[in-house]
Amino acid sequence: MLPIRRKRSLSDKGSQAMLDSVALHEERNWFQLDSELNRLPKDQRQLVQGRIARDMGQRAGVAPLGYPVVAILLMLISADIREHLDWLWLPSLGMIVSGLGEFFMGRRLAVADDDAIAHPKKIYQLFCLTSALSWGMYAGLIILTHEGSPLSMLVFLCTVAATSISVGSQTQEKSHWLNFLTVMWTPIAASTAMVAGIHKESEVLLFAILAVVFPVLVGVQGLRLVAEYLEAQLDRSALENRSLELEEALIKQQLAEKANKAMEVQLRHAQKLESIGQLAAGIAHEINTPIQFVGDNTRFLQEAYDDIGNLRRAERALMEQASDGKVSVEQLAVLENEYDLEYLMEEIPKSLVQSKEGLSRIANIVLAMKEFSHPGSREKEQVNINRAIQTTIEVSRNEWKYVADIDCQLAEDLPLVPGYSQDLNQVFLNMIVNAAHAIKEKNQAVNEVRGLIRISTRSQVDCIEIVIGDNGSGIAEALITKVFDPFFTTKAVGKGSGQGLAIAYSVIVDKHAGKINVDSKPGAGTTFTMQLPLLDKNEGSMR
Amino acid sequence: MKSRILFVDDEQHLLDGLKRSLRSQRKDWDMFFAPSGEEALKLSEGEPFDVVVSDMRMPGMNGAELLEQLSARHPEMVRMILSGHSDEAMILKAVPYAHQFLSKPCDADVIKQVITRSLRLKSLVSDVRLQKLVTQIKALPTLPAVYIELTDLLNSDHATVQKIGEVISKDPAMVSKILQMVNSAFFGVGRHISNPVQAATMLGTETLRSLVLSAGIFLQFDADALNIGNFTLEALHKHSLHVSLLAKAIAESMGADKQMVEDCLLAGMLHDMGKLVLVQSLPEEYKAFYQEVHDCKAEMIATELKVFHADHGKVGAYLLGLWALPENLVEAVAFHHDPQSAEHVGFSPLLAVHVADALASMDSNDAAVLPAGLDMDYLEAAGVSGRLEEWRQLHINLVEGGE
Repeated sequence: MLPIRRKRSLSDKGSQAMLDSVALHEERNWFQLDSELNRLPKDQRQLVQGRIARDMGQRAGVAPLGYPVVAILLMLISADIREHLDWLWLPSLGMIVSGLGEFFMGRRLAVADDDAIAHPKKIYQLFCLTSALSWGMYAGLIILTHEGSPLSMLVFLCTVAATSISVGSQTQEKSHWLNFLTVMWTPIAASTAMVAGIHKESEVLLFAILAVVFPVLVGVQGLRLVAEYLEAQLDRSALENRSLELEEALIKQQLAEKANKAMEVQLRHAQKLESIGQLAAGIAHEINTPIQFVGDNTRFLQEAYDDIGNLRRAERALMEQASDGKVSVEQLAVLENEYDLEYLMEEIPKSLVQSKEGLSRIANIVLAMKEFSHPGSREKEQVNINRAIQTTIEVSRNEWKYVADIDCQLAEDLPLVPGYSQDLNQVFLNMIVNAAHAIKEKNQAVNEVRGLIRISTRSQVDCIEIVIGDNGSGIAEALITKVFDPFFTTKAVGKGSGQGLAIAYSVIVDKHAGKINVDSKPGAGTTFTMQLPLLDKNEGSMR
Repeated sequence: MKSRILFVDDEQHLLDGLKRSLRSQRKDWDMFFAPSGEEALKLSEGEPFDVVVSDMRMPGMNGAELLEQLSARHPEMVRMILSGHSDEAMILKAVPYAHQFLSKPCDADVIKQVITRSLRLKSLVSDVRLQKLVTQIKALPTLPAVYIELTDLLNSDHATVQKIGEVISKDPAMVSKILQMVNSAFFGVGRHISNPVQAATMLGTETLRSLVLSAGIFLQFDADALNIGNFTLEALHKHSLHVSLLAKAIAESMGADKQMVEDCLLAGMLHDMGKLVLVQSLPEEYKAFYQEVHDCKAEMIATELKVFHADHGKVGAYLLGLWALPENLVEAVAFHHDPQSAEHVGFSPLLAVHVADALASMDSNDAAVLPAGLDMDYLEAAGVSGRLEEWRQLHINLVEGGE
């Protein structure tokens, strides 16, 4: 139970963490994205910001070089501008410098490392600001000198649009965007107001309104682009994050599985020791009883031998004493009676037979114990399942003989199956002991009733089937799915580790590629059906 | 009359084996063999048996249940367990009802010896009613203070077995019971143990805990139920302790070996067990007896014989014998007022206890302690009469040391 739950909680925790980090495919406005960005862990936020900055630098490309080109071209083609150069030299110079600066810093930004990106980004933004200011100033000055001619109005609009785009595209961070907006808006609003104030014409007013609305529209559009970009970056980072977490979870899970496996091995070992310890006490008793009566019989035989020797001597004495060399039958009968010869003659063979039986019983138990605990090889070997079951019944006799009889119907033609004999012994032992306990539990109140454990084997097409059933207390319906879970036990603390059936499952299903099935009715009994394949599937796949 | 012995085991071969190997006893014993507890109960409905030897684990009724039933129906029967099982929980169930535990495989000689001994013990107490009372006893009253100290100790986590043994050795009833346990084949090693601390060590804290707390081998003395004049358990304890220390000192003065010194100490401790038995089993009669002794200044042993048909020494010895305590202890307890009845002469725990008891009770006015006479002939025969003055001095030293 435990390992499974651990696995589950691990993955739960992982997905929960991802839900915290980002809500994918969710409509979010710019401010939400920004706050989301700020909620990210510091290193992750820097990663996203750095990524955006680099992208920005890359996208800028050679475009900033256009600013100085435009500035120079304007000066060349427009006599008016040349005329007013004493006013226009500052924004023109600004455009040239900022255009070049933006270009070079953009290059640098595109290749900057994560941890060294803050500085070029700052300078890049400074150049952006300078260029925007220069454009604004340029436009304002042209309008001022041309006093509302259509050309100057066009230049003005283009300028505002360009600044808006540049503002929009540079402001991936909220605070910066607001700064830019304030700084930008001042010259634009000032120049618009000035123009509108000088030329009180409807034409100019229209331009003025456009001059305010247009950059707002463009700015919002730019902002939306940035938001999309930011969103993409955030999602990407979240995805990366998720895959990272998934990977981590996977590794953790593997580690946990490994640990579980190690624990399982240990537990299996512990359970084996537990059952062997339990068996040892029972086996001691099983052996003690024949030892007791073999000893008693031997002692009797010794005494009987002495008695017969004495009888022989008495008979001899009787014969020697007989005057005429004749001894009457009566005299002998009296003597024989005195030494209880009849009894001795009757009991001596019996005691020999019983002693022999006792000795073979001891030998059987010792042999079964030896076979049962035989370590077996690491490789699968051909196992005689019938023999394994008989051995297990023998060593566990003391566990069941007081509560139940065993009805054992083993198919004589049962083929050998590839397997680990010791593990299989362990499985049969667990099942028999469980059956005995179930019967004991059911018949606790009535001592006289004995239960029945049915064990049978039979051969099937590509497997053999082993059925171990009892008429004990059975398993409640609600618990039946849990019986193979490790640590699941209904026994009192200290009475069972809850490993028995879990081990049975792992041995039959995992190690032997077999099947195990449980069928139980509360109060009527439990039946386990196991199938072991005749062909070693693991081996087959390896070849 | 032949003694009737019943063997119970679910293994027929084992019964056959016992029958054959104990054949040499056929002149003294009538042996019966039952293959199950139910069968044994049926058999015992006829003429009762003197001794029953039962297996522990049998299909149907187990040994503990059988002995419980038998102890209720035929309390005079001596009950023994002969089991190859090492399941402690199961044995604990039989502890209150079994006098002795034998372990399979058990040599026929040992079985013979144990049964013979318990049959012989019956001759100590000829009164059948008293026999029944003694065989029924599961535990004897212990001093409440000692009992509480012990249970507290057992319930705490940091009890050392040494400390538990020391507490147990303060109380004769506890000492006798713990020695029964450790001298039985199941819990102990089946060899002569007469030191309570050693006994506790051999049993171990866990076993002691289950014996005392679950199996209830010790019985807390109920002062209200056993209110007999000014008889107090404390006084009896004090006297037993004094006799015990004096007997030890006497043994040391004789240059006895360690085992002898320990046996003397223990015999002194247990010598008045019989009084506990009588007080517990027959409180009314004990009251009458006490009155008679007190009023008429009658000789104690004679009065005991008149009232109970046995003296307290023999009664105590019968119980200790049933519990399989070492032979020399049983002898010392049985004959401590009548050493000449014992079979041998010479320095023994019996002699030490006899002298110590006489010296200690001479100047005691306590109700629980009645003056005992010194058998000078016996001392003479043992060749130690000359040392009496030295021992009297030991007694005086002890009294002064105690005060």
